[in-house]
Amino acid sequence: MFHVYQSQRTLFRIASSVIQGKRLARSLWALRDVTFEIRKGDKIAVIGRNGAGKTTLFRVAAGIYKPTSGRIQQKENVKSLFRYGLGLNAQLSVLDNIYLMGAYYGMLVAEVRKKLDEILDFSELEEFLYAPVKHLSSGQVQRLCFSVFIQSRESFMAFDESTSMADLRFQKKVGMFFDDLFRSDQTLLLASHNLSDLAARCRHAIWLEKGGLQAYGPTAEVIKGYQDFCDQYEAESTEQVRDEAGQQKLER
Amino acid sequence: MTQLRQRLNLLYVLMVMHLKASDYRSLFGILWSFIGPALTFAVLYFIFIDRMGRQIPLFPIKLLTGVVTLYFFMSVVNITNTALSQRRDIVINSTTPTEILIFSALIVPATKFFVELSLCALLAAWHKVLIPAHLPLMAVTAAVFLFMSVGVGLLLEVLSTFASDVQEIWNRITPIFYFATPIFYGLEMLSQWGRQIVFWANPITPFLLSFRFLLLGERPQFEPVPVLILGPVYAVLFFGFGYFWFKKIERVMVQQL
Repeated sequence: MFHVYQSQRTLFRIASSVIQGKRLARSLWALRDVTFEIRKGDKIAVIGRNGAGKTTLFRVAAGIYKPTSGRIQQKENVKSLFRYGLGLNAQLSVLDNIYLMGAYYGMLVAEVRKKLDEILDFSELEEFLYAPVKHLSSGQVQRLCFSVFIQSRESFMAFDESTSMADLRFQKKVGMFFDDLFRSDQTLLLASHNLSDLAARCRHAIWLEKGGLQAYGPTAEVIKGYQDFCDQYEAESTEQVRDEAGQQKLER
Repeated sequence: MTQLRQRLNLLYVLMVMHLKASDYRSLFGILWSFIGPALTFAVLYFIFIDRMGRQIPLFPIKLLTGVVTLYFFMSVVNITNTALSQRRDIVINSTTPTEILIFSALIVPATKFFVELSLCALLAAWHKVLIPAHLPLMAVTAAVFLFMSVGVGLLLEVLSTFASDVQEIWNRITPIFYFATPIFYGLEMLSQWGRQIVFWANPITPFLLSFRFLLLGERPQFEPVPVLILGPVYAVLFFGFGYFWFKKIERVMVQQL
């Protein structure tokens, strides 16, 4: 549960709300009544509209957010990739940032040193090794970050809408990496808006809607339900817009 | 065990990267980072040398100790206070312990303070008043002072979670410390009330007096309780209370970022 504030909190507003007995914040359940089980080796797709609670679910699974109520029973730590450039320092060189991100992802200095060639091979950034990261393009930064992240493999990994890559050549490499990953016995949790990709790779899917569990089951069925829901929602929205436009014309 | 190793490794790597990203990457950078305290020292020295300086033995060393102590306190409080909000991305997207983020960032002011105190010690040695046996105790006092300053920063960080203008208010009131800390005057020069307020209500005072005592071997003229004891008491209170409160609402803080 989150507290959402209607205005910026200042000492004056807090004092005034205490005196008047008014609440400055309203409660918002980002996730509620969500129960599911993931077995070792499962590849689970997580789908839902923006704001449905996917990222919150990943953060709870990774142990970043503690649930307000309920519990999570985990036998393995979850390694999550939420976004590229985690902890990146734009002033420092590519080499320094490899060590920095490696440390964030739990790799020791010696391990990073051993895997340095692999990281540079995968990211294709050898010639920029001593260049400050601020001089790289956003696509190159993505390549760098992804290349470091994949070196710190864990038996349970989660990717939150982080599988799309800038250039086609690198997308192919990433695709091959994911093919390997999906063939392995690693447990995977994958959130994406690329439904065909999820349908091809995952056996089961979780569909979240407004913080609640809408469906959990075979990927094809869940995606079908989600697509129908989205189509219906869009049709209703279009109809509503038309009605409003018609009403405005009549009023004129 | 593996997790402990990973965390110590992260702390080490972050410290190295903070130093690399700071002014410390070059000799000129290091010199540049001393410009602030050096200018403050120069201005205060030339303004107060005639009025107060002549009455205070070893005035330049005492003034320099005061300036560097205050600068250190302010930078540690500022870094601690903004440690999470400036690293929002890491806090909400990884399980990195917040303590690592805070303490790793303190390596820069801590290194600078070490160099500055060493400079004060060199000046004391040049004046033939340095007591080398006091130096280890001085290092301990500096570490305790660091914890006290972190405690103040954590308290402000917690308050900032509830009210966003706390940081702004703190920025406005920090210049008061230039006058409320006996940097360019001695406590004995103040009125009875002024002396009591500056000694008891300002947590920097016992540390500054401790540093001066350890450097110059000169006990403060006004010392209702030994400053070497009062400093650690303040550190336990501020750090204990600040850290306890910080951990207690850490979950809310992370969600508010």
